Amino acid sequence: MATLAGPSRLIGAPIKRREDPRLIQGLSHYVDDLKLVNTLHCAFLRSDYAHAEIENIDTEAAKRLSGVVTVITGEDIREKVSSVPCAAEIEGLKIPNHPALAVGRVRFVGEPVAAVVATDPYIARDALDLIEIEYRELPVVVDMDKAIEPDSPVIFEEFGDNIAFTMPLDAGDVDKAFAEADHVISHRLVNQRLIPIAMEPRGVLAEYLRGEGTLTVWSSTQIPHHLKTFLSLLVDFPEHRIRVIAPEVGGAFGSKLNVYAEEAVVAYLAIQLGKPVKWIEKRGENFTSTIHGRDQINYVEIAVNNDGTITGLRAKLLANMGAYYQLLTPIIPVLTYLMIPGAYKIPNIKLELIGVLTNKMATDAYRGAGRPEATYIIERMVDLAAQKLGMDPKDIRFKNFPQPDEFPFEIPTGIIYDSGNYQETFNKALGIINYDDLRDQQSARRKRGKYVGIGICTYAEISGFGPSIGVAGGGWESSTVRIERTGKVTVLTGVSPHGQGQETSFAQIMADELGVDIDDIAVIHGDTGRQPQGIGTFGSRATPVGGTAMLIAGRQVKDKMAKLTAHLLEANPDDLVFENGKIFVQGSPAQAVEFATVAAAAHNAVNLPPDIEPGLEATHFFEPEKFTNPFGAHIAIVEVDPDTGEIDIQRYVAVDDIGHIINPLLVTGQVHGGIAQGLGQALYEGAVYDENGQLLTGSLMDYAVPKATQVPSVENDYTVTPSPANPMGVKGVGETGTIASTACIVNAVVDALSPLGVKDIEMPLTPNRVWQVIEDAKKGVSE
Amino acid sequence: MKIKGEYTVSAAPARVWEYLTHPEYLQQCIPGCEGLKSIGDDAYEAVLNVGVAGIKGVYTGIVKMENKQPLLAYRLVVEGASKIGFINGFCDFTLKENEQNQTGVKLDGKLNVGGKLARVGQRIITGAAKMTIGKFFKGVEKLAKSGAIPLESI
Amino acid sequence: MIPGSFEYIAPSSVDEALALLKENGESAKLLAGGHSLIPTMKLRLAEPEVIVDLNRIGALKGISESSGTLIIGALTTHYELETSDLAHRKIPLLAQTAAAIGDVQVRNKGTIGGSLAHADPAADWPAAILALDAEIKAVGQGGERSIKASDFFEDLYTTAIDPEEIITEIHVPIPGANTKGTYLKLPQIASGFALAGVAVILTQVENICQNLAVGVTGVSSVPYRAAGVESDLRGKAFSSDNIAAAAEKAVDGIDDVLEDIHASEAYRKNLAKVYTRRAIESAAS
Repeated sequence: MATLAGPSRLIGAPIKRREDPRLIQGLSHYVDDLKLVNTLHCAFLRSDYAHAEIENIDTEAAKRLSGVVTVITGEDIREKVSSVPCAAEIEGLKIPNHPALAVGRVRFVGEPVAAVVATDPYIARDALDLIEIEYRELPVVVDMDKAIEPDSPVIFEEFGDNIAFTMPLDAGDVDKAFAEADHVISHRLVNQRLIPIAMEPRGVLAEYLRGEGTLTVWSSTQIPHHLKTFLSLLVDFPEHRIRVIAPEVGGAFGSKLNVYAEEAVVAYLAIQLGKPVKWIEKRGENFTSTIHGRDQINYVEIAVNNDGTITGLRAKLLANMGAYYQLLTPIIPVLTYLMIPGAYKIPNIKLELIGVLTNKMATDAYRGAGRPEATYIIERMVDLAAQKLGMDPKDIRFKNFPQPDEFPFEIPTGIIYDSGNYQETFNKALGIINYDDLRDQQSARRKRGKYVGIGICTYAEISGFGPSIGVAGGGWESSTVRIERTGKVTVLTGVSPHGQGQETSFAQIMADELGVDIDDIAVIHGDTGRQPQGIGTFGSRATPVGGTAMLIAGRQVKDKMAKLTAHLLEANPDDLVFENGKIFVQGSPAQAVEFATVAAAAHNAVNLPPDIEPGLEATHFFEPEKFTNPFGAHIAIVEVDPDTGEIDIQRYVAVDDIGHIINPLLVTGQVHGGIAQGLGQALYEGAVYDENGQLLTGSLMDYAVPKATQVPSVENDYTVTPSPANPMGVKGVGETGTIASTACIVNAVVDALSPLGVKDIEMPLTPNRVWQVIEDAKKGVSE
Repeated sequence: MKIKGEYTVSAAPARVWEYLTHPEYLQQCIPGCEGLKSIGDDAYEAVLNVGVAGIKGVYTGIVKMENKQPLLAYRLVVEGASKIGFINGFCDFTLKENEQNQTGVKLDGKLNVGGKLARVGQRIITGAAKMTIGKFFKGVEKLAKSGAIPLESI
Repeated sequence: MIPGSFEYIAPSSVDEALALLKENGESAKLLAGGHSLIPTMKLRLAEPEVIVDLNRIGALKGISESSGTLIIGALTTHYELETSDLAHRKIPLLAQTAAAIGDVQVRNKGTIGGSLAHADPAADWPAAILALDAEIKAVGQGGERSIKASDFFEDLYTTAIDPEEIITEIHVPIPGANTKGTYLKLPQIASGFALAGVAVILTQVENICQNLAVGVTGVSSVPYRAAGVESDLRGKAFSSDNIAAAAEKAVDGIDDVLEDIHASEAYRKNLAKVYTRRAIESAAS
């Protein structure tokens, strides 16, 4: 498959992010920085109860407070704002009504119950304290194992139970594989609930212009185009009169790949009140009421032979939906289900995925979205198998990789891995960390009483979402490339970067394609009024799908420009070279015409060839034929302090294969960030609900996200196996680090403690938990 | 949150029982209790002004006594709500006289905390609960030391 | 994160501040660095009606030395102590403790007096202040008084300071010759507060422990001196075995060990012992 043609100047170069100066200097505009005259401010009153009947709401005192414009409850808008959307299409899925403000009953702590609008945010907040709600508490269920029992309290009585859906898979002959296997290894693995914690919480500003009949909504979102469509349905407003703008978005990690109740309520209020209405989420609300990630309990068995060959996998996957669905809630664990064999050839697989409703905030896409869970499952199981067989965890992996010549490689869940060479990547990582010596060093250090562990994770993931058949709402992407009259280039993209750096990497691609300076290219995103169509940024899709759409649109406009230039130079368009802001016939750079001159000619339109229309603009919708499948090998060395349970990560090597690399600086930044978040799951993070459904980790004092000083120095390297899914051969890199590092760290810590007989530790591996495991193991040993 | 503990009060069970069950004494001993109003059946409307570290909340709710076995045991049930959250729970008190004619009081109960208090107060809730119970028994001990007698016999 | 409304007053003298406290009673709160008070207000866990900002009172700032004592103004920030030449030369334990507090932002704004007055059971200063036998000066309507560190911390978030008093200075005796100190802690990873923090001051002559003071924070609802450890090791050689044996007494007599979602009672007890051992080993080496 072809990769980028022509001499490359910027693709592959470590160019610093063009976004950063404005971000570092505080010159960006996030939703809260936008000031419209006469803006009203909205605040939400949320349930303190996880499950209760609302017996009465008294808003009178709040309404009487000076400066309060209105107070609304679920009853007020039940006919006006429709159910918060879920785009999941799963056979047999029970979809509950999800009112934007609770009606009659609350089902999780943090569920919005009433909204106040006031002339300033302080009054709005004061008014919340004046709303009196009488609740009648109902039995709560937060634990999935309990929620699927027949005697459990039921979240939605109309469903009869808490099972949202069941998805079976039976591929190959699993029973035979297990019957004939030398060993069967069974384990319960928990992927704990995480809270995404983007640096910028959510925020919405909506303005309705009565005269023009237009609704403009600024939202901190990853999907402005989808939001536009859904808002039109939610508040019954014609889509062609809605404009959604995602201004600077301060991170999301999937948490803003969604359509939230607050977006609908704020838009509704702006229309009703005829004034701009703003809502900025507080950090506390971000904890309770923005989607959470993970939260799976997995009962897994693998069949393995004495030589290390894994012949079968059986699993029951319980996935916590929370109380309601957000946009993709039920789909996320399906990615776990699809990717469960990871980087290995496992011919026989039997699965049962069960979505479970509980009195918690909804889960949804959080960086990696289903794949970190799958990777954790298979990578822990592979290590458990190696431990059981007394095999080096390196060898069992090589034993079960598909061979390079087997790609495209279909796994039993139906996914076809696009390209891969797992052996090369793994060997590179093993070489960097000097694995063979490492095991000797480990033995020596163990003899000196040190608890040193080596953890490996060889992963395969799925990225570059589409194609459309695999992505709710479409997996294509669109882009418009326009050469302005002065020769400057405007790139409009339907993806919606919020930290990934595509203003830089896309400009690199286009600068090379058009032979112009990178500073002459503006990459514009996140505004449905400027980009005609788009999907958004998620699932490591921006460059493989959105970048390709842009590249093809750019080539189309370049072709047109070449025809025009050929007309002006009386040359053959096929002979033209675009370089350094000039266009010339190959071999005759002295007779060049300025890029800007041709641009002007196209717009002045007085000397155009007969078959050329004025202007230089092209739009392309790119529909990928297949997913991409990044892969890689991460290896960590840790030492555990047996007295305190503290974990020291001494080395971390990441070798990833994401196909061709546009900007190694950005790519390495993505891998670093991903590793930090994956490590957060392994070591620090965990959303804790008590049995009454109260969130106990509701602030950054109790919920630990990794800080810069807590992340090790990462040694990055890459192999390049181009993807056949797009002309640039790129795979996407947004999530690899998160997918790989969680299992890698846990494997390392378990390896460190394996001399004590430790086989597993539940995440997060807090010092307290690790110490307790050591204490218990020592007792077990001495007994 | 589980509540467990054992306190010794310098008085015989007959007196301690009074301290632990008579609303007037209870009000004196429950930290921050600003009023107990009988609503019948050993149940009282209560106003509690409690907190630590400047995090004070005025809780209005109900204090109830259940399963009374005079001089031996009973269950104290508390429900209260404030602007910063709610608490509800119970505590079983078991009284036992020791050799010095003092009374050992065993506590076994459960406290649920909800709302903002639960979400952001995890670092202090357990400590605050222990401190509050400690203060309660300091109050009981003070009554014992002062020789307060059963109110019925006044 | 929007506080309730409050009146803000920034007096320029301690007397003025005292008058404001008297006038407003319990509805007033003193603002020093604000790292505990302001989050509490923003969460509306507390809604004081009057905020008396002490930051314009110059007399409460600065570090000086006087007749064998370091005098630290209550409004001295953690950062100022962390980087104070005087502290580094005379009582390095103070600088070391300051450096272990929270993060850069907290250290830039947070003050030693504010931290002591708040008396968070997992704050770092109490361990050092106890080990150093410091005295806390406070002034109220009845004039100035001095409170020994060992009498200062009364209960969870409760000190010997009356609501209408203001902490003015912390007096720390400068340790004599052959005396070294260390502060070691295991922070709770989210908050940075100590799951256990141990400050040690020891006097060593030819490897014999002449004197030892061990202050422990984060473990109990009240920071404390580990008296059992101190008496066990006094007069003995600083051998690994002796230190380890003494450190085993780090929670002797402590019956209100903290427990929360981050650390169990058993774990905190273990940490107290391990960190006591390591702090003594480090200071004695």
